[in-house]
Amino acid sequence: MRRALAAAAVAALALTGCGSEEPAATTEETPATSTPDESAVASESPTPSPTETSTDDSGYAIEIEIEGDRIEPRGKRIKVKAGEPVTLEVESDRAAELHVHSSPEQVLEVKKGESTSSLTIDRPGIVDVEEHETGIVVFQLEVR
Amino acid sequence: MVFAHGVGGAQDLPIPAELAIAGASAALAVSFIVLAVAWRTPRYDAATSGRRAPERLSRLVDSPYFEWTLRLLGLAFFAYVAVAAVFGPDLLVNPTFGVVYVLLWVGLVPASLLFGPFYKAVNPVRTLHLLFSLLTGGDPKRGMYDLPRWVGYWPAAAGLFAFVWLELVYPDATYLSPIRLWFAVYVAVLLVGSALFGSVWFERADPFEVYSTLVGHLSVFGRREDGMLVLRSPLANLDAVPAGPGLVAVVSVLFGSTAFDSFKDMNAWLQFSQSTSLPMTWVNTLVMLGFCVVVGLSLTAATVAAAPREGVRRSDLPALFAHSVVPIIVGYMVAHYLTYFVESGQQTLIQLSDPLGTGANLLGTADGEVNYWLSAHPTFLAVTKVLAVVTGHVLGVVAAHDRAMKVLPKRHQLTGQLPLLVVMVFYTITGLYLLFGA
Repeated sequence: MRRALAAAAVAALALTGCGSEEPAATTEETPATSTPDESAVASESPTPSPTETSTDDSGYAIEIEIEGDRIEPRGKRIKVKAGEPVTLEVESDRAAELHVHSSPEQVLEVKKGESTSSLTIDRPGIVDVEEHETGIVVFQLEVR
Repeated sequence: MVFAHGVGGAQDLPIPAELAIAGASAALAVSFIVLAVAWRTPRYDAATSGRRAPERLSRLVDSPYFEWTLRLLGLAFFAYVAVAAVFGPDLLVNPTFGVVYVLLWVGLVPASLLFGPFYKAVNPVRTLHLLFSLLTGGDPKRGMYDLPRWVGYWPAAAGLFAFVWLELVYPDATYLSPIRLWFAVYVAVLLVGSALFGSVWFERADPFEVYSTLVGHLSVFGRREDGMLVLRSPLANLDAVPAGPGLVAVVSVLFGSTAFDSFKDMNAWLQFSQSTSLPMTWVNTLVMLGFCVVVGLSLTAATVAAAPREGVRRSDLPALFAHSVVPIIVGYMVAHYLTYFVESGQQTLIQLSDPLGTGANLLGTADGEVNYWLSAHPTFLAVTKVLAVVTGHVLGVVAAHDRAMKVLPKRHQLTGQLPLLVVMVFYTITGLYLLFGA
């Protein structure tokens, strides 16, 4: 049941959070989707953080392709460590929203073209990352 | 932002393989130890077992003040949530979802384990029926007709299936209108049925009351046939579950649907459901039904395999053994729902303070924060889950053994139990596998 409830949570979020007065919400400077006291922090940055040795941890980089309703990967499970950032390299032909079903929820805005986002989950568990428009679970993080 | 209101989305990690294997081995070993060394004459007798509850306790529980306090609290809570369901926002900040799927559906298990038939005591529709009877001067126990015996628990089994279908299959389960419709039908069916058949209808048709009363048989509180309140071991209490037509269906739906819930969280099923062009609502309906049918058929086949002793009809055997699956169900429910109950339950209590989404803080809980300690300790969580499953299995095997001593003839009391024992091991190992594979 957990996934269904989570999906609605984000539906609620999308309705209230991305109302008509908001612009298409694709700009880079929207790490504001999370409040500081949240256990998990989503942020978007044009370049991968230089402090992380992300080159050897290549397993934590996920490539995503969005082409209209076609999304790759679909439902792939990826093992990561709690508290360590995951880099999402997205290539998309449209603006999209990735809903991260962690507790609490997070949203990553994706703009048209190539972009890079970073995502950190602080607690162990299975976290679905879902593309909002299609409802497709792009990948699952198995956080340990 | 509404982030602070989202219901926890993360799911539990799969349990480690070593733990799953250890749990399965323990279940297997205990099963045969019970068979080999346990008592050879029936030990539990619902009619005589138990110690009389302390005078003060039974006087309190049996007093009309106590009864009506619970009844009115239940009715008030129902009305409170109904207001939220009708006038509140159709967003997840609405407490209705958490009340229905977490507090009611999952919470009735711990409440009944602690207090016995909890839902029966607070059942708002039962209270409405009592109030109508008071107004019209009728006897609430009596309806216009006698409920035919063959009906048994079948209406409750259908109601349970309808609820788990809404929860686990229906894609719009987290919108208000399907929930309102479901509960409108629920209230109508119960009110009409109780007018026709009297209050026995609740014991046969109310999915939540039947579920809660079944689980309540694992509490220490029971009543003898004359109504005397007694304290007794959960196993002795479980012996008092009235067997009847449809009881097998009830336990099959409860167990099959929960196993299905784990199954559909498996990554392979997610990948399949996202790559197929099949209509997934139908596929899920059929698969969930399939899980329930497998439980029902395996339980039936395993129990009718042995000929009963004289005076017991062979076709009654599945229902006579169905109570022994209840502890297995409860153990698995604990494993499956523990984090969800603890964490989403806290979230629901917070949301209940603001039923209409107006920023109110009616109960003083609106500023609370969810404690995620359980999720943050996955090893503790996994061990607890496996212990719950194994405990449930052991209690189930013991309950089945005692019943076999009663209904099977001496010459194959032991061999006659073997098929059911094998089926129980199969249930438990499947459960552990699903917890491991999720």
